Amino acid sequence: MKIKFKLNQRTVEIETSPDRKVLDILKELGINSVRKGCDEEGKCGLCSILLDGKIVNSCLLLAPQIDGCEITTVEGLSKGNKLHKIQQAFIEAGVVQCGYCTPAQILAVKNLLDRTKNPTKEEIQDALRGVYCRCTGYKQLYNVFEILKGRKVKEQEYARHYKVVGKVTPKNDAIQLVRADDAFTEDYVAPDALHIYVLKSPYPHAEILDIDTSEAEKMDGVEFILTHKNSPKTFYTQAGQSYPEPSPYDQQVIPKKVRFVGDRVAAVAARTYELAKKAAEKIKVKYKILKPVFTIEEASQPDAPIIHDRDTSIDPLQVGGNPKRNIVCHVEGGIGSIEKGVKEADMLVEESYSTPFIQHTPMEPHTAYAYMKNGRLIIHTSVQTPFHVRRIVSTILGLPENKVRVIKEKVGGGFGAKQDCGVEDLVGTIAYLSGKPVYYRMTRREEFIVRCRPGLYITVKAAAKKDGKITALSINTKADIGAYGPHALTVPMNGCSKTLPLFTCPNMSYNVTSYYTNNIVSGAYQGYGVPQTNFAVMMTLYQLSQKLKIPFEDLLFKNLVKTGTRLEILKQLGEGREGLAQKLSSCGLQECLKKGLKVMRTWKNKNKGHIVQGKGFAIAMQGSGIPGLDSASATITMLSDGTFMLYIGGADLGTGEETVAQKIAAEELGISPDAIAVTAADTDTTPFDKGSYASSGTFFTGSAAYKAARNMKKLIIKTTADILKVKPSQVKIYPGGKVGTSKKRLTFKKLAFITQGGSGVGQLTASGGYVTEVSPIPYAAHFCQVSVNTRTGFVKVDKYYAVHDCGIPINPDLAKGQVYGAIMKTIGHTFYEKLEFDKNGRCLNDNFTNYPIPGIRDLPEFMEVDFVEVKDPITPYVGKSIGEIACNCASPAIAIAIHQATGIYLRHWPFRPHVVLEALNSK
Amino acid sequence: MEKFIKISKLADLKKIKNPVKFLAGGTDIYPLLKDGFLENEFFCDISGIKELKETKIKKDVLEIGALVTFSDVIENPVFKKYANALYESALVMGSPQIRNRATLGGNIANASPSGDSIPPLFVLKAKIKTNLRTVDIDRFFMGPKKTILKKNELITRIIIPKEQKESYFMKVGPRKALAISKVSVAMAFKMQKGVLKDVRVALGAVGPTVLRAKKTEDFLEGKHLSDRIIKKAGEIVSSEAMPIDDFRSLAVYRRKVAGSILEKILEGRLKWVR
Ligand SMILES: Cc1cc2nc3c(=O)[nH]c(=O)nc-3n(C[C@H](O)[C@H](O)[C@H](O)COP(=O)(O)OP(=O)(O)OC[C@H]3O[C@@H](n4cnc5c(N)ncnc54)[C@H](O)[C@@H]3O)c2cc1C
Ligand code: FES
Ligand code: FES
Repeated sequence: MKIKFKLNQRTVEIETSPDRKVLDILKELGINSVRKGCDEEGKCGLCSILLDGKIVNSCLLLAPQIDGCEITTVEGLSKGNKLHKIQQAFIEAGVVQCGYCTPAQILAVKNLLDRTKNPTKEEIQDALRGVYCRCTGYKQLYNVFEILKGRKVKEQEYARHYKVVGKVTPKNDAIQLVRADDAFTEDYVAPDALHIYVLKSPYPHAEILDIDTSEAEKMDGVEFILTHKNSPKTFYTQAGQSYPEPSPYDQQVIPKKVRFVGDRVAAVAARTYELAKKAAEKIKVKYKILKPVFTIEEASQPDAPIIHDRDTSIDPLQVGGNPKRNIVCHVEGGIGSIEKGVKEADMLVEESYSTPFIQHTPMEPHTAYAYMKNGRLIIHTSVQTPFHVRRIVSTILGLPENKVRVIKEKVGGGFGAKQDCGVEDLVGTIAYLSGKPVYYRMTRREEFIVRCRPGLYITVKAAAKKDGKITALSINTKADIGAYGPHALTVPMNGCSKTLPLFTCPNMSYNVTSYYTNNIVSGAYQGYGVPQTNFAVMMTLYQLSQKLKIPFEDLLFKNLVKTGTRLEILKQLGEGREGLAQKLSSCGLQECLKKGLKVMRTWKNKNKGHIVQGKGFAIAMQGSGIPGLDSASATITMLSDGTFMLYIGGADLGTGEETVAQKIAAEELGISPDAIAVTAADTDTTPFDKGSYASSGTFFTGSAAYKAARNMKKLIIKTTADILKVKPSQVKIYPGGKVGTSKKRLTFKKLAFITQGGSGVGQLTASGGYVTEVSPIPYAAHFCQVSVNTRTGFVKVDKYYAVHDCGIPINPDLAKGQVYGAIMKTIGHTFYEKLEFDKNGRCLNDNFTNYPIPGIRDLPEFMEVDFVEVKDPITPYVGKSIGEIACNCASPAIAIAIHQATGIYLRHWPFRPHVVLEALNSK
Repeated sequence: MEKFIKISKLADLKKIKNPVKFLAGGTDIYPLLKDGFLENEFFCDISGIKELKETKIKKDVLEIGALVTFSDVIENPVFKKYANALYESALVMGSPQIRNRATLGGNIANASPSGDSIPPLFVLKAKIKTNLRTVDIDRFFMGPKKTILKKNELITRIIIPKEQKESYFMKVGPRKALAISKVSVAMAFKMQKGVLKDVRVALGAVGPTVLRAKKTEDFLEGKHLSDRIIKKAGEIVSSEAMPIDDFRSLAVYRRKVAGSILEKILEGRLKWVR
């Protein structure tokens, strides 16, 4: 049928079949801003459009329904280069992180303001409740309305001695994102690309006896099918970690034996996705069904089915794995003697905790687009580790690294899900073997069934003297790592490495074992084992303080590390190798705790009938990258007008990493951030960087930018000295892009003209690489007040206050955004997020209808983030990390508050209302 | 495509020969389309029938077109005036994106035990008018997703008597903790000299269909509101709820929530009396 409608004031006439979704029609018309965050369930709202002035989901709309209508999208808001005032306000509010949800949020705000000039808080919540955002925590959206009313929202600024660092400046890619310009992998896919559909195993454990693709191959438009028969045989780990990875090499692109429901059986590349799917349904597979193993208990039985044998599970670092017993790895260690510590103590607490499989749900699912060009394999992808992906893909295909190029496009949220080579292995292989351009975009359902956070079972033993001095602290963690072992060692291990060093206790130990099961594959997730382990440790210590009848804060203050403390335990906490003991270079922990306690004491608990209130808090640490293992590099070049290009390998996931690098370089060179443009994360054009994980972006990549800028500074000074024929020591760089002596100065522009002219030394180019044996440790303390409805078991977080030591918050507003987002995620994890499986290992809640994530209405009424500014000798700009640590406190703080209100201890996530009710009833 | 027709007048209904699946706002249907659940259906788009988008205020009744959306219910002041419970249900239903498309007719025909407009319509004594007949809402639902509608029978209007009654709606737990926590309560009554009259209570999402809580209604009839009465009513409602959960703790939870919501509604009303 023919339909005619107005799209952003332009009349459009198209021929379409009546059952086409408007979402797809708009995409074909080049409208980027309608994104697909769910499987067209109407849940995510990212596909929102204004239809005759009303906001609707374009995934719930068919072609005939827009006939004769007027459609507005974000593309219709800006006029040429001039942004709409709402777009501008989003940038100013610092609420654009990955930007995948931003266009929909902008439309929702516009739609509300079209209806009412002065919306109430309730109206704002209602207007934005239909758009999911996993990054921002929604909080700064309220500032958008303030800004639009003409009020200045003044964020506190830091580092008085700096001009750029510590100040609020716009995120370097915000304009592109609020306009919905080409940014994400899906925006760059050529129309002739083949679409991939992956046929997945319906069984948790089975051997493929035979696979027949002949029927599928005959279908017109089906161009390539990959099965275990023609798949590369290389074993590797998908884990995006520095080489040699502390994860077993136990995966193949397509295996002959499937190990969980969702494992790859075949991949079809065809002209359309629908066609690929139809063809996949024609593939005949003969399985030999094997007995599955779903729990650690089952996996550790002497006669348990073996999921991996030695041939398929190669352990490069030898970390105690025994695949014949379904053990991926085992490590233990510690300092002092737990036994001795317990003997000395007056009180002992030992408790067990568990946390479930949890999905990251980045709003943009995994996407990758690959093709061959000039004999090289080119991959555009949404990934956190482009350089590791280049290494892994070239290893799989037996290619030299210089034949593979990986370009990280904008990433619509990663949170650890995209740390691994999760789709590039497949997409790269198909592009290479078929020679055709191929595109794969996981559905939301696939996101839910193939990767998650591992299930951890943690037992903590803590002993203390009467006065609260801790004499022994031990952590015993068993991890259900699922079918394959990326991060099997490091996630549970990191939980110990980032909790034990909070305390000065002389007797500490850890014991970590990870098991293979036929469950979903687990891996990295923001916090990397610490949110769960810190929950267990904090709860145990809190309980210890209760039994000793001393305030929790007193117990903490008695045992906390401070600047200068020597962290002996770190030596025992290497990831598959010996660690390094470290003298604590800076520590704002006690300050964070004091600052927050002061605020929390002003909150009064009020009990009203069956609603009871309580307060709780918790502390945490994390790392800033992995010292001794990882590295980052940067290059900076001067352009002919004296501005700069900064090339970094770091992979910004929407967190503002590029802006951090840009600002540090600008500060160092005494220029405005605008004078530096950033190119990042393209393995052909930018230097190596480990990628964005382990909270390394700000510290490692930022420090590489610092070194490159410092080298550029030296180069500028030396070159100028040569030109002016003076000694370098007489030359200085002056603010605003000038260089010279006290008498004679050149502008950078002039310098560029001279150096790049025929008689110059050539373009000024400087590089910097960063490796370190020590990295600064970030700290935090979070505080909350909750209301528990004792009649229904419903818990509401009323107030939340977080204080962080992230050194200097280089981008104060973006740093806050990281914390808000992390808190909201953790609130979801604590109260309701959990993947559920039936007895055959099939996921029961693989969609947002049944696996809800926090929306704007879940925000506590009061939520604030504050910083304590801390100096650290390791780098001048002291960018300690902030993204992961912010996930570590909410859960214990909430559980402690619930205990204060009701006397119950909740030790197993999630605290769903019926669980709370049950605990209350059996009190 | 053969499988898709559109009608723009009620009268055209007679011309349809094959059995069809009606398409109104599509918010229940479209999410199923993608999974191929409705592959063999023949669709009839009714969203263009103008006469079903109107709400008419008659002398004794409100006549609501089946295509009236939840957003219309919020925006048109007659709903707040004559059907407050329905208005309150629209306020908490879905997102603005969904409310702008979702119709009352679709919500009723879809017959989900958690359909938000249904408990209000129960307590407002609504009648459902189709192209063939008019029935009391009490007799309309047969089970989860089952109604008395025959093939190609179209809901055309919803008729609500214009009584001088108060009515309320409340639900708990959208989005939080799976769908399991969705429980809703609607109630309507007249308050005469502090005494409750003509009480109606309906519960959503605690049984195979929306339920009337008759024991609670009988208990409250003729009572003066007090803290004690409210508490007792909450207990009775909890016992009337019939959740069908596998896990015992979930069932207990839902019953408790139903009681808690009813108490909350009445407590709010009591505050107002005092
Ligand atoms: C994200 C999301 C959130 C939601 N939240 C809620 C919520 O909070 N509360 C709630 O109650 N519902 C909710 N729903 C469900 C849905 O929006 C409602 O049930 C809606 O009212 C259905 O109306 P519709 O016009 O979209 O129906 P459609 O999808 O068009 O049709 C639904 C069914 O009714 C039939 N039908 C439609 N109109 C008629 C008619 N006039 N006569 C006979 N049969 C007809 C159709 O054939 C179909 O079987 C939600 C849905 C989504 C996608
Ligand atoms: S894609 Fe439309 S709501 Fe998610
Ligand atoms: S900024 Fe909202 S999803 Fe990333």
